[in-house]
Amino acid sequence: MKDKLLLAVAGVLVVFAVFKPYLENITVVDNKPTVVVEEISEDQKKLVQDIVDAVKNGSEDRVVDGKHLASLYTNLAKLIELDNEDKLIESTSDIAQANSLSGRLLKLDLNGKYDGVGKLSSDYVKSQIGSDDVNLDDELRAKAVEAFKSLAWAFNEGSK
Amino acid sequence: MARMSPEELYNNYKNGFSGCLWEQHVFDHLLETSKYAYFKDGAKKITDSGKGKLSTPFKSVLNFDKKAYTERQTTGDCVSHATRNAVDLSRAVEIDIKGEKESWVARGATEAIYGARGHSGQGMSCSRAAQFVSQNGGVLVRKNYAGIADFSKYNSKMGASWGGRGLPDKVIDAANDHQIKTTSLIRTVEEARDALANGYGISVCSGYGFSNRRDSKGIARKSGSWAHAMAWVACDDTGKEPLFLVQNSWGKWNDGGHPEWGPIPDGSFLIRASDAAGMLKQNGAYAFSEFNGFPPQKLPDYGFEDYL
Repeated sequence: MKDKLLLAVAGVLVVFAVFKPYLENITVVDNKPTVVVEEISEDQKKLVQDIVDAVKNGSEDRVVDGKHLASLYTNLAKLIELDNEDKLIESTSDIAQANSLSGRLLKLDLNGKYDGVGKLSSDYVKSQIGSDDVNLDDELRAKAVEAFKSLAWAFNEGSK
Repeated sequence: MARMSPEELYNNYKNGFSGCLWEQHVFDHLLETSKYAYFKDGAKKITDSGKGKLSTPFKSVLNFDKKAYTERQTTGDCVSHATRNAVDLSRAVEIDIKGEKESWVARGATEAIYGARGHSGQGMSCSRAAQFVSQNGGVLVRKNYAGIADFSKYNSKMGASWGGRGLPDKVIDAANDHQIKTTSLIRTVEEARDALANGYGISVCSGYGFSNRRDSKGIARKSGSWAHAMAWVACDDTGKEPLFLVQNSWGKWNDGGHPEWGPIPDGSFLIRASDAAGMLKQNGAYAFSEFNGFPPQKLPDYGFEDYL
């Protein structure tokens, strides 16, 4: 019951967190939508290059889809970053479920549009925080935050 | 049964063709000789682990073989297809978790399973197929076993012809090299949900038939009676009731909507918990594990593949 409540709250918060900045942070510059993402390290850029390529080689909708996903992952990073009394994400399995729930609630339905990008994203996150269902300590939480910020960067790059 | 189109297969089963049979003595023997005859006995550590979750382990199979579910039966060997698809799912998840892609080799072969049915007529029991992959036979894959048999392409005549005279010794020997470690009877919706949530495929023999039209959410309603076997490859327990994704082996025999969590493979459909419960009560559902029992497995996914 606790898990369900947690996920429901996380899902709702993510949806609000996504749509609000979507309106505020995605702007149109020279007739192209633009989203604000954080810069990441050169090492991280190398690790997510396959994702950038997969998005670039995918559907023509990448300009919009990429921005939307960049916004989603920026906000998931913020959600994971919440700590102390605001903490919503306690474990790697919470991350998985919040991510899955967000994609479904937002009805993103991008299966097949960007070949292999789901698996690439999953493999990348696993390479950063593992695939075991464990609670997040400070170090692992920081890694998870960095991973989602890197994904945001990758999808934003892919959309260009 | 001659080579049939998806529509002909559908009509044939609808009109009473028996693809799955009941063999009480094989069922009894399997229960007596299995270490974990009943799923609950070997799955204590995963009880309720699928509660409230969307579990889509079939995606591990598709990671290795995008056309895995396009192989269409052309004779009455549905039990071998359902068993192969269930075993392949368990195999794929384990390989996916370990990251050992090369271990996949190819999808499983159906011919030896069907050839082990013990008679020259059509149809087979799910108990006998489960017994074959775990006890007196094993798992063979779609490749050419030099000097033994070429299973690289589905050949329904091969399995059909072996039924009466039995499998060649060489085929049995090759199959013995890779046996499924645990095969257990699934009897409840909760057990089926927990099995799939941990990446264990299920083959289900039953008398339930379904519509060839899915509703807007991918659900097919019960319709008529089929003596048929199909694999269960996913479970969505995030709504009011658990829904199970059933993968048929008739090619593209149905159409309609898809669930919100993404497109489902051709030939598959979701069923409601009440129908699932009815099917499981018929004692023809087996889960397969490459381990001793059914230990917890974390499916290799951080949720991305639910929508990306």
